[in-house]
Amino acid sequence: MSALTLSRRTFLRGAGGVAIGLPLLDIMLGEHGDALAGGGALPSRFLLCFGGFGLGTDQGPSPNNLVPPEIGPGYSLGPAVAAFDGPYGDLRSEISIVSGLAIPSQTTYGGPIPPGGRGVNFHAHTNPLFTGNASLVPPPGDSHDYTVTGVSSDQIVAAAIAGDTNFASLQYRAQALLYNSGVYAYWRDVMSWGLDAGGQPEPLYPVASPRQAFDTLFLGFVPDDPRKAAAAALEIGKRKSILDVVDRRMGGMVDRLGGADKAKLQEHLDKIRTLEQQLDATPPNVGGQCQLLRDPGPDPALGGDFAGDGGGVYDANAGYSDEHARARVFADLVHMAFVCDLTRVGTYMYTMMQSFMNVLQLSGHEYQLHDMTHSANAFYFNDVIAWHMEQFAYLVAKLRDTPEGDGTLLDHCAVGFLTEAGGGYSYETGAAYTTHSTDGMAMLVAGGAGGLVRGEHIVAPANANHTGNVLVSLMRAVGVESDLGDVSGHIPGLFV
Amino acid sequence: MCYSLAVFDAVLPPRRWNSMKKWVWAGLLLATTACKDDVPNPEGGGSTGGEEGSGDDAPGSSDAGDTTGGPEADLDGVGPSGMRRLTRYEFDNVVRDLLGDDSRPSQALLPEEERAPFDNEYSRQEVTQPLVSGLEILARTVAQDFVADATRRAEVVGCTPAGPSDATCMRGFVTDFGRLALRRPLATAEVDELVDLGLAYAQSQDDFFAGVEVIVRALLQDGEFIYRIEIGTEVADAPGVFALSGYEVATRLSFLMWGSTPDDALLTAAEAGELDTTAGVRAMAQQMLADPRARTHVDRFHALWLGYTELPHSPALTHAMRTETAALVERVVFEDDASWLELFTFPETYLDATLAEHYGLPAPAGGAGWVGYGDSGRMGLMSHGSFLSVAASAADTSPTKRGKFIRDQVMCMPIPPPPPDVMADNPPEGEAGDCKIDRYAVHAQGACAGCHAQMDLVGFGLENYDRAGRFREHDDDRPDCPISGEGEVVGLGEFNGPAALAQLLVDNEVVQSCVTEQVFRYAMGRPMDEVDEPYVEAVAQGFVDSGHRFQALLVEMAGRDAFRYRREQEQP
Repeated sequence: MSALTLSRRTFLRGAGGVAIGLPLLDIMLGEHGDALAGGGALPSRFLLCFGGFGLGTDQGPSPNNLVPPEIGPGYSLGPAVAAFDGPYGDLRSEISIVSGLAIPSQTTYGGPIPPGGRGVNFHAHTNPLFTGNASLVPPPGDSHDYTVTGVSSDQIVAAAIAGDTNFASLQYRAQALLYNSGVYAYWRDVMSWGLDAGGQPEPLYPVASPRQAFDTLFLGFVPDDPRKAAAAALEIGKRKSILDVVDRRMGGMVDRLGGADKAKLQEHLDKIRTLEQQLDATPPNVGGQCQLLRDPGPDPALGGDFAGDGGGVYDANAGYSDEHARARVFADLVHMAFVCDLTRVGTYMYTMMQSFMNVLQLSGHEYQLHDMTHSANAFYFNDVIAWHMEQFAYLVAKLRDTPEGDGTLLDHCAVGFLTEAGGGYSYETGAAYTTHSTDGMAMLVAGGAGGLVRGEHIVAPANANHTGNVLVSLMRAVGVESDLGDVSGHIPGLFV
Repeated sequence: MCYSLAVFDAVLPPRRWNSMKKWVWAGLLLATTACKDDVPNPEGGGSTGGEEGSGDDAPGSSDAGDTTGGPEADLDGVGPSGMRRLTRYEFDNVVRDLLGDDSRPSQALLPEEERAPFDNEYSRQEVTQPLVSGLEILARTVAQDFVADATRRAEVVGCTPAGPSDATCMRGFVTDFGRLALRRPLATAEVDELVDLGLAYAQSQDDFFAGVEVIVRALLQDGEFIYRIEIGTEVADAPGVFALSGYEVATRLSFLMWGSTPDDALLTAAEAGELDTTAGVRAMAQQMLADPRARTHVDRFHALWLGYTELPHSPALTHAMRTETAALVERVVFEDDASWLELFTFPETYLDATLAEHYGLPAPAGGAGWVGYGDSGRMGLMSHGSFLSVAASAADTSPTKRGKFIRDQVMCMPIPPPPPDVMADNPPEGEAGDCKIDRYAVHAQGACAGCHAQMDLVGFGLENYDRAGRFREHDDDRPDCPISGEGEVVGLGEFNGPAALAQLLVDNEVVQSCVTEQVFRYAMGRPMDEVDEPYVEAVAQGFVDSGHRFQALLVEMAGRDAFRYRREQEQP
């Protein structure tokens, strides 16, 4: 069994073939480094990041938040985006800021919801944010309708460009827990939506354990050290043999069940089979930039519930599970998954929608994130935005610092950072400014795929100012011409 | 999946199965119905399932047939049951009991459960790729740790292998461990398949325990390990009703009593037919309460029900508060086996010096111990910091959230969600300089008043106790805003403070009715439905007859025919 795995690997290496699933070693690239020796272009990668925050608090917009006063290149940096010119060098030439974005809102309770829009009540706009479809009007007596009716941008892209990569797409989340027990998540924890076997939208839950993400991504790697390679091959063989038995037994049980139980166990079995397919995939060939990352070890300890702020409880592990360290591991994994061409598509949620995470250790302020957006000084809130931006800068810099072909990995990426909210008039309360608003939104864009512009502040045109227009642009950048739900059209200024 | 449906479930008023105090329920229902016009009719519409089947009057047939081994089973009240995945808590208990693994390994590797308030509702258990991948990694971690521990593995494997390919020992291990893991004996072909898997690796690795490892890994990912699947035998003359096998009853029983898997003795009892009658199940349930695992499990039921599994305080304070409440539950339910109502009226509490100082109560002699409440105005669990820490808002108590929490959980009288035109994230702002009670006055106006009276008036009756359970005379940092502590449970009466609230809810038989429904929910992994009424009504009566002993409540829950049968689920 192990011999078979090794011989297949040897064969692939010996043949020098350009099997998809192998990393992009220089030897595989054509003379000019911009195309595969076999004639195909270097693959494009698509990554959408997300943070569960807006650009201010109910006290007002955070001054000098991530939107700079100047339009065009060479924009100035407020405190929230100080990391764009910090330990990772000057990223202003890489990261574009798109401001003037909005998700249109229903203006009266029970009234119509505009195309691609959301309801008056906040905290239920997963659908327009990620699929570009309008939220459904809540049924009488209900304040929110969380239904998701479409496919998210990353899944549209994955269907088009994943090819035979080992993972059609990856979903990661740094915030470890909801931190608010007794409350359902209602998709606050999900960015990616595909279609199930019946053609209905299906949430693709992110992996929130760095340990699990690492094991899933890297257990197929065959180390150079022959002894380690043999052990790794043995482990792969074991996993396959075990899953084979589990699969067969579960299939027998599915046949004995009916109704909802049958459907649920079948779903479980389908996901076992996904695991088996991942194990059968050609292992990546370590070399060049593609390296087995150092094992991150056990996950940081999980923090408990966290239901408020103040009161001197911040010495507790409440509401925080070292998301800073977790976020770093996930960023490293996204990066290496792209380098090794294990996947070409990812979504990465740093903090959940309506995040209840304790932000003391990230920002120096004694709050949980959601409460902070409602009650804190807007200037302090910059520190929460800044943590997200530092994480984003870390990831973009890693992509920039990785050579690929004639240029860098970042040259072949289309990366976006989407936030939950902006700031503006409240249709809920009539307040002049609230963070419960999808007016005044901004997004970040990085990468050079498909001729994306590098490092400019762009104001979205009025006819393409939905956040979905940025997503459509990112899709276009990786060669996918498609609407996103109700949203169509790219933002021309995002392209050179 | 759909939000509106979920909320619809949550706002259904309780069924009027408590015949003893129908006037109380009627009064409260009237009040709640007045809270909002479109609350579903308490007697009918809106239930998401179970409306067909036995319904109001039994369809005549109470003949369970021969397969049950029990005479004249009462099939009225048999409810549907779906496949139930082990929760993280249960998974960790099971690997502790099967493999001696105390590390609670699933917490980090499996997705967290949503709680409402219990973590085991099967309709909420989604199958996700992170779950299935996490289970695979978890199985590997647990199995490898296990075989690396010579003491544990010797105990569990049960034979000393004569060599790596000792087929007899491998077969013995698979037969015994497989029975415990899958909660039933394995068929010969099943044993053969697992033995073959194990021996292949034992031989190729020249290590018997390499074979044990792969067998454990396979079983920990098995569909019948991960899920509690009930099949049973269809009852003659009662289409759609199935008598559970003895093993299936053993499994229901052990997860109800211990939150864990049946042990060898319980499976042996099942095999011997001892669980084929309600009397047999009842006797076994009583016996199982003597196991220390029952104490932990009863403590956890209360913590989930009342929302204090995790508290937003420093680890030391959290620990002290959890210890305080656990000590009271342990004393009332197990040490004294007294009326469970004493949980709400107990005149003493278990404190350490830190917590005594926190509350402003006398410190116990020695490091920790029982302290009398005296005339402090406190009494029972509702005066504990654990309970009073739940449902707070940003920076302060929320009388609205506290009141809603008490209505929803303690009284089983759920308050409907806010109407569509309310932004409920923030407490009312009021005018600058307003005292808190004045800020909340906006809730008493117009259309808001009906529902908010149900919640806010309860919350304000506890307002002298801050969100860590400390007594206070006035609003935080506002000596000019004295707190009166006057509150009311609309329909029941006025009160002031947690002791008086507890007395009010006990005297009106509200908590004792509610807890029966909550135990049902925890036991069955789903909310109560109309079809369950005869069962729950009988359990409630048994609870009353026992003098409200909580141990008796659990035994009553297990010792009914409805516990040994299942009704086919509606087709999706």
